[in-house]
Amino acid sequence: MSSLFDISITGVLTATIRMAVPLVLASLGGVFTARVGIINLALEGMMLFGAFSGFIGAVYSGSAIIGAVCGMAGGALAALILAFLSITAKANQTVAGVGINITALGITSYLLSTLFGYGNRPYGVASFSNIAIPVLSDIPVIGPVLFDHSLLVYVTYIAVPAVWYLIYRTPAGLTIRATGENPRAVDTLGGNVMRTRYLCTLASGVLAGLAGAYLTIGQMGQFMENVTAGKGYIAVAALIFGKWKPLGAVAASLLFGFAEGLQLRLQIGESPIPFQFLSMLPYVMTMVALLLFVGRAKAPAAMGKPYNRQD
Amino acid sequence: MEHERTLGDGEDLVIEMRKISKQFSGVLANDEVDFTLKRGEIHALLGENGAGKSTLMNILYGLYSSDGGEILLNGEKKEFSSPNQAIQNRIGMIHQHFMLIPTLTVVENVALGLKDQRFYRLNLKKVEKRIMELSELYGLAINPWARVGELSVGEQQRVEILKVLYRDAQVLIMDEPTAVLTPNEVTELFIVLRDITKRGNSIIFISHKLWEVMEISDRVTVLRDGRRIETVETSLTTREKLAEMMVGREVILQYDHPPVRVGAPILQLEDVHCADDKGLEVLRSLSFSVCAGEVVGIAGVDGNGQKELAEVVHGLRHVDFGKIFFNREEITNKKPRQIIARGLAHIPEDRHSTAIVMDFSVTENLTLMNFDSPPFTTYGMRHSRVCTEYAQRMSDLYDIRGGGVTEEIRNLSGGNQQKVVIARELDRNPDLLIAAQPSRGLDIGATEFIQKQLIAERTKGKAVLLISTDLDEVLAVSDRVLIIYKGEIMKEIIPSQASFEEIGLAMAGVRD
Repeated sequence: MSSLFDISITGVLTATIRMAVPLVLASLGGVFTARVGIINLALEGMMLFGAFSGFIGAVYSGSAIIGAVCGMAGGALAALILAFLSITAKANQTVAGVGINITALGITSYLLSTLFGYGNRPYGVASFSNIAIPVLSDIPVIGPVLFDHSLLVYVTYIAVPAVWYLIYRTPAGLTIRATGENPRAVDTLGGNVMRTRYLCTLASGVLAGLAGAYLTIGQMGQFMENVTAGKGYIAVAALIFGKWKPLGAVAASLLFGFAEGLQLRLQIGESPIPFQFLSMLPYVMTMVALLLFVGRAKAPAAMGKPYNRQD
Repeated sequence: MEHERTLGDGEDLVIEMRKISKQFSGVLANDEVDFTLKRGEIHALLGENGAGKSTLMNILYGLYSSDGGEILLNGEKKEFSSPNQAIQNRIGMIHQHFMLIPTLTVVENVALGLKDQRFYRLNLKKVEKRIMELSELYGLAINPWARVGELSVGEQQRVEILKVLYRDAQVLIMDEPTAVLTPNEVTELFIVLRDITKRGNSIIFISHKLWEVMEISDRVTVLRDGRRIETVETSLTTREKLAEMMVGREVILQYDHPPVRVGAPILQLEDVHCADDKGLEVLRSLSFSVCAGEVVGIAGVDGNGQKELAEVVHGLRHVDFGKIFFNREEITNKKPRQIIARGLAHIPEDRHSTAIVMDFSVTENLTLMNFDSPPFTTYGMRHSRVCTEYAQRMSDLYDIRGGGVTEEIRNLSGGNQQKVVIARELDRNPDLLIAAQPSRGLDIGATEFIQKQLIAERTKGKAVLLISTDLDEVLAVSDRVLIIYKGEIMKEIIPSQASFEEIGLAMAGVRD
């Protein structure tokens, strides 16, 4: 009988990367909104929009790349709604985010049925296949774990340092960080608070949309109702757990990805624990992580506060 | 004072604002205001809270748009629709509430929004170099890599000045720059400001404090109710004349303290220690007493334990060590209600969040502490007529104006809100009154009324503990002043026998 212990490390770690990628992308998106002071619970809805539009793009174009671009556009569209509600209309950002998530769930399920008929799903949709990077993928353990993945995973590898550099090493990044702490200071120094917030919200939509597309066309081409299943919320948790910093969010995403990868492997390997409990693992870890760390972290000071020059 | 800089021929105007008007939801904040700034001068803009000083300067800085009038810069007509344009025209503003980001370093705060940076790379070394040059030139010592949140208020202001100098401003607008400084920091600031004008720059100095306007400015423009009253040469006017222009009537700057026999101690603190909200010890071994028939003032820079001091006496904060006595009875860590029942009244420092309920009427706020007992409530029934009559009586007695007793208190002016608090607290005939920042944000009329009430209580033989960061207030009202620094009493003085320098040193933590 196979036990808990003969699951291969390589297998678990490879699954960790695969499971972590959407969380990494979405929580990096969350970094953008958090750093300009916007509460972004809509990551879930942006991902779902991205997953759906990415899938549709791939179905009709037959190209996974075009699908990914459509996914980013879908996420950006959801982001635009959040931006308008929270920046221009100055609505409550938590309510706006939850509203977008519910809307995304309803619209994608509805469109799926109307486009393909109830219960009918297109099969064999264009998706990204694994590209083993020469030389690097031959390294034992590290090679298969890190360098034998689809294009979107490699895009994620580049996105992490790129976002970090943008936020910490460029003038635009300084403006972004300052906007989340004290938008009035940015305004008095001639910066444009509204524009910064809009652009960063759109950036979060693009990243979350890509994360969503990864779920539908990143490996196999398929879409199911509520395919994100709370991954957007886990990304929000990773963001908070990572103290609203890019690398922190990535580390937290990897941790949650590990929990997910581990439970998947355990399910395959005939574990004595019922699979329902194993499926709970990432969510339980999310709660435990938040319970242990959130109290101590300090959010950007202007979080959730709309900016009004003449207040 | 040296006046070696020349003011030119009187025609060398950097800024000319003509007939500036601005309305906020129907209220005229600026009514055809004229204002001129000469090259190399320090021009004070004097007026009460709400007189329209900040509005006028926010228009000049492009934060607000004016409803009428025009602005000339070096004789040329200009339109500033955003701070960006003001900065490009070399106008810099230092706001009353600092526009700094506490989590970032000094260099990052200065670098924010700079135009001479390449978009793909933030070059902080370059910014640091220029900060050091400016810091040397103007004597503004600063550690460029320190986090702004860890700096003292005086240092934070230096960062603000450096931000403006870095952008090569020829005009500096300073909105109430001394409000948060110790007397010594004010002296240092004035030296820097004179240095800045010697190099041909001009400064607009917004203030409502008479003595500092007299000391630092070359000319004064007085605003009242959104209108310009007069512009005068500082050397040709007096404090009294300025006060009269500012308020519109003669003002008393000194109070009489009728002699009264000081009685038994009402409040005694013995070696009291407590922690602030972050768990850091904020009162350390605090001991003093307040007797019947005296006003004891607690002076000090904001954040040295004043807020917590009021809270421990009121039973709102846990005392970790030491004892507090009220009328010789120990009240350490008793519940607020028990302490109030023994005869404590408290005017808290944050009126809006702790003293009144903004959505309640004047009547409801006046009866907030005893609405559930006779005569307001009997047998579980509240008698609204009794409440209203009581509120009416209080309004007449304490001169509460604005809309009547059924009006929501948020529609009253700050001064009238504070009168409601005072009426409620004093009507219980307390033995001890704690007044924390009682006149913060109030106009001179209301300030006068409230300060006179404090002295009247003392003359009636009550004990008064006045906690205020406004040194003028503490010195004018108190019989004895204790200077607090980091939760300890540094020094005790008698107002008429101490110099400003002496007090300033104690406020900065220097022991004799």
